[in-house]
Amino acid sequence: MVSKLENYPFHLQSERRFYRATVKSNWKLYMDAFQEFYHAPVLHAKQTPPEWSIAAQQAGFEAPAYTIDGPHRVVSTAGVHPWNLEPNMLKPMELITRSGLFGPWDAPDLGYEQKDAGINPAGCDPWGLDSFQIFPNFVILVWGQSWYLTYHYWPTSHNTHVFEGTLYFVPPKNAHERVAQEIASVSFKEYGLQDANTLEATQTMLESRVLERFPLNDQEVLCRHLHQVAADWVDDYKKQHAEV
Amino acid sequence: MAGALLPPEFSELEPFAPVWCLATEPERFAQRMASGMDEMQAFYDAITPRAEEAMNYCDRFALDDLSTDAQNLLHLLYSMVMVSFPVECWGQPRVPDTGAAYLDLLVEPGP
Repeated sequence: MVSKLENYPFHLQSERRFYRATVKSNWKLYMDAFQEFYHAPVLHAKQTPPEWSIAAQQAGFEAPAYTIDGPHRVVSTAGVHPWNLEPNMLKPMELITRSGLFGPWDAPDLGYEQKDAGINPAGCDPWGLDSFQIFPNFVILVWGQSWYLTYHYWPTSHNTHVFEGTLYFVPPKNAHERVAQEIASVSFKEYGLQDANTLEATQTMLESRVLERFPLNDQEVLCRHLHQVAADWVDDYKKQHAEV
Repeated sequence: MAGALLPPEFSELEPFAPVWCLATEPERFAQRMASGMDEMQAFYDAITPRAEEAMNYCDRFALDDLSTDAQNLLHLLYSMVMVSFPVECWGQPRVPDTGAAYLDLLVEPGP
């Protein structure tokens, strides 16, 4: 599942932006926040005009492909071609810059076959993104608009961690391309701040021990898998270090 | 214009240049948080009709060989992107529903 990614042209995308934050929650909570996407039409509704957000909420979200491979996971999503949408479904700045959260509309040709790199497994057209969750704490997220980002989650205690997000683009050839990458990067932060906000509250709730079980739906299969694998690893460690 | 920061073709944007010609995202984000909506709306209204023209102007240069005034203009375009979120979406400088969350951009490309 992951090994085919060696055929993805990472080397062409050297334009780098590096974000970091200390988060007051267990590292797995932030992983959960980014390994399901059905939250997006609700949590991020106001990031887009009502003509888009209402339609998105009514449509709901369902990923076309999930894969589990040992301790690793991937989710793939369908995409949209913003340039084919009615202008009132887009923010004016997206029309000005021909870019947005999903990346530059005029995506560079990276010269590779998706199949060879093991991405877009459902063959979506348009295709949105593939998010590879590499156990334990690393994510590679490849966007359909020819850029990618990585997440690292570094535990610093049971209820704190350092989050790092790194964005990679093809070096821009001119101001138009540079500005298009700028709005993608700023959008990443606008969305990321909303995603991060729930974590500290969730951590506080968990530490209260009022709830001990959490039902997870089918769209959260990757969350289930992460917690199962992490619990298995902890159990194995305890067995190996149990006093005889 | 003596002491102008921007190319002469964009002199009408000169009043915004001392505030918004900022080279880094942390500076632009801090300026957004320190600005009122009226200020950002005025900047947005002034620059968006000239944005395509401004990008075309900067496209005349290689990105690693921009004239000083073209680089200032490019930085002004980055600030246009920064204020577009409060103006188009939020009606306030802060992203709503973000509590105490923060995300620092520590490495970013030039120019």
